[in-house]
Amino acid sequence: MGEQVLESKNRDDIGTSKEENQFNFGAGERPEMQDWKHPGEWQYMEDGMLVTRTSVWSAPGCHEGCGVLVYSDPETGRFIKVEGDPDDPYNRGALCPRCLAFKQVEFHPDRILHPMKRIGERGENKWQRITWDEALETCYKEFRRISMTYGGESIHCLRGTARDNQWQVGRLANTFNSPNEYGFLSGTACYLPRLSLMIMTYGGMLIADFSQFSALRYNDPEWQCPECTIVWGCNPTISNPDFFMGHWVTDAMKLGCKLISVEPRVTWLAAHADIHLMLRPGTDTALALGMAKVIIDEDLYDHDFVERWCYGFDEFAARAQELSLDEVEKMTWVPKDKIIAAARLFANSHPANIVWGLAVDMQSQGTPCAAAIAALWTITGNLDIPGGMCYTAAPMGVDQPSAGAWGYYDLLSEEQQKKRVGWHEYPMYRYGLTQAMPDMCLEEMEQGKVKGVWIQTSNGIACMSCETERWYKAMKKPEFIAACDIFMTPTIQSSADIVMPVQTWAEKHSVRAHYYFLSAITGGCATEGEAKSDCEINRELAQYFDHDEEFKKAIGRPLDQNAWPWQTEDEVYDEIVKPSGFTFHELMENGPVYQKYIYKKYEKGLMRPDGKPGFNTPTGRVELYSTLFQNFGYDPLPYIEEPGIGPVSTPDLYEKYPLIMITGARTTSFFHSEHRQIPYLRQLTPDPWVQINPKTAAEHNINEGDWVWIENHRGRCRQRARVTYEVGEHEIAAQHGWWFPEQDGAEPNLYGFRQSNINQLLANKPGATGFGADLKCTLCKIYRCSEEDL
Amino acid sequence: MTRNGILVDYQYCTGCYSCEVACQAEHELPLEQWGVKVMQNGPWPIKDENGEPTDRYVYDFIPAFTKICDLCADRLEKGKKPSCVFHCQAKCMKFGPVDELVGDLADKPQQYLWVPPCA
Ligand code: SF4
Ligand code: SF4
Ligand code: SF4
Repeated sequence: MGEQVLESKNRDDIGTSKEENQFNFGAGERPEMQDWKHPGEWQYMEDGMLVTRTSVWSAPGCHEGCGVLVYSDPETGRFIKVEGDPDDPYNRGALCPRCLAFKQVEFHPDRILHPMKRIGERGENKWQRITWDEALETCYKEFRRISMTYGGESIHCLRGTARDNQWQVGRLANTFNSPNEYGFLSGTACYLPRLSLMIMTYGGMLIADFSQFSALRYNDPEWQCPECTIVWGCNPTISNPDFFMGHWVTDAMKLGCKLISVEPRVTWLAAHADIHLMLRPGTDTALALGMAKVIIDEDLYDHDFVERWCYGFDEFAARAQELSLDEVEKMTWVPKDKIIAAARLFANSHPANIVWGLAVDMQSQGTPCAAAIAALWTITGNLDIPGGMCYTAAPMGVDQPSAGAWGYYDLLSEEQQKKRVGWHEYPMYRYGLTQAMPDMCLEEMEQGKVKGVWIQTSNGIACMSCETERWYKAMKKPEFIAACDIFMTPTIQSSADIVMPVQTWAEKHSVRAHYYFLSAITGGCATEGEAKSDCEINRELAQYFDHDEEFKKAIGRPLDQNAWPWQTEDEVYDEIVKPSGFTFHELMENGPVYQKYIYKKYEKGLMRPDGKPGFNTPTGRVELYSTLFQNFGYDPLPYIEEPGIGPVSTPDLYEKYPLIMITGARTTSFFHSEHRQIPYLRQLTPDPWVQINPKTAAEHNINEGDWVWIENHRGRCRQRARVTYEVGEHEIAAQHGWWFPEQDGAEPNLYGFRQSNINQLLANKPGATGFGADLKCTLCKIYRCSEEDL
Repeated sequence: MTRNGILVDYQYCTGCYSCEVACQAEHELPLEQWGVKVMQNGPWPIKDENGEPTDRYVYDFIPAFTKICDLCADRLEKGKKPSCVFHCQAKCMKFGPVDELVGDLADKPQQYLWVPPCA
């Protein structure tokens, strides 16, 4: 096994290279293709309509990238309808309501159709149509001026969640000579705590194997159905989280897979689980370590795997074994016998896996929590085996778009890379995505250090920002802000100077490259108005910088280096998909491409750049005791810490605010702050809801459908009571991402983005590693709104 | 003419609402009008013999079809499955001739068979 020497290295010299930051294995090399081809044509006529096969990995929608068939008018090219693609292995025809209602997005009267510039004050809702040339030239002049006057790092580029434009925003930032790309989320508490933990201690990123690595899916002879799955802090059938179709879990249940649910609420899955561990929000680490203790005490772990492939098992075991299950019960509120039963069921099932979710990240403990949960699948020998926890691939060798770091390592000087906000203070940010640290970015923005902002499909103040008012005010400070989106949002309305229209997924070309397969987003429909794809907007803007020798000289970029040396957007995609051996157009015609997935890669020397067996970690093993953590000055083992605010850590606040507040529970109607203006979807969830247990509701004289204030020491907002046993007596569960596109968009109302915005009750306060924040485990009280409040 | 219907295995219906919107979009139905509407039962805790709530819950969703459902007659003509059946995320609905579905009904509990007035 290969090992690196860490001891002699300075903390700032660790994690500086792309090789150390391996997001998906196999990047850059063309793997063997799986022997499967999509049986259909990419375009054909049906019933007088043109049908185009594409993938939905772009706004609006979600992370999944479901395979769809888009029907359009062959004359006008305009969208008619969408159906699931039954031959797409990923979703096999199924769609969630958001894509089914898509027609109402495509032709929505509120869509931004032309570039516009602000002609009133910021937030006045006075816009004037301009040409693309004027929009792009203004952006060029302003960002050039700012980069050359204050340094590229004073430009912050904001994006929403990981979809096709993830790398595009990063690369545009790098074009401006800025290393700073991120979203407003405190502690980047969305997958990143888990992701960077896995990259640092497992040398790659792992996901539960429900056969999705193979186009043959459940019929692949090599795949095994998990005997048990733990759904941990996740409601996948509703949320379709991070490249994981939630109903793969129900598929497996039909095949006999047992289900353990770790979930404070009684979700549908929890109610159908074999064992439901209804824990106190934010105590997941204690529960995971408690389960590890049972597995180790009862000798249920995989000795062979642990001895051969793990580093620091004894230290980890000692950490788990020092706990008493009585203590764990007291901390987590989960009865000890249930913890034992769950640990036994999981350890005695083979293969077994864990579908973990955002609740892991949304506690300041995110990093140690992820480490403790990951240890469970590791010590039970479920790593990289069929039906276990498997490494995500760079599909067909294509890596850049997924990592979002395409540009960071090659367009920025080392000096400039290190100006990424948080690079020095939070070294874990060097592993995983190359994002800036949002909490520190907020401070910089408040101090007036941020001079320019680029917003690309990110509705920060209505969706991600805790202490919303701080972000809202801070966003008034930069000298110039430009935004690209499909719809006007409170964020753009309140802060932007220029706004540009983006194509929907039915109109645009792009690439879907994540985890399992590579496919093309083929567009197929005529574009409404003058919208362009995110990629094309960025490419065109970048041309100005690439042709500007004075700018290049000023930032020290070689004159012959162009950030976007491509003549069309399709040429950009050609470059991206190059490792696959396909051109973009070949990929469009071919359909999704799967590589032959190889299990147990660590035995075969496939995980490390040096080709040796083992893992891409400093010790070459899975590090249950992290040498990198040790080096960075963090506890190398998972440890338990109470949420920052809660019944134990802040008893005085608990007295005033006696309910634990869970936020962010999903519905299938909306993806984060998207879709509020789509009639079929809004009809499913007309108002923001807060779930309240019947007993709690009775105590507070609250009835179903009442508007209630949710309040704590930070602020309050109002949502409608949904009285249900889905949530326990000690908790409430409130929705996030609400704004009201039907309301007045101008200041001070800004589409009512404050009215129901639950993030006003949350703090920007990251965990010790800079990852994780207590977003699903704080305190609040509730009371009925009075007549005059409404 | 064969009488067709939809067999629903509601043990696996997760309440995702795809069927509702699939039907509305397919038929361009106005708001608040459905060919199929998802009904929710629970969650509520099952009580023990002393009337105390246990930690076991009833939590079921059941897609309830309405009389405006025509089993997607237009789609059927083109050899396509009804939109709701086709897009169901849990794949818990099956379309077919009633006499065949009756056979499947005996295979497992927690299913029901829907036969619309038009059939
Ligand atoms: S919005 Fe729904 S249907 Fe569309 S890609 Fe996401 S999961 Fe699939
Ligand atoms: S069969 Fe067709 S008409 Fe009937 S509910 Fe389903 S989608 Fe609607
Ligand atoms: S689409 Fe299927 S799983 Fe979803 S609510 Fe309808 S019947 Fe249930």
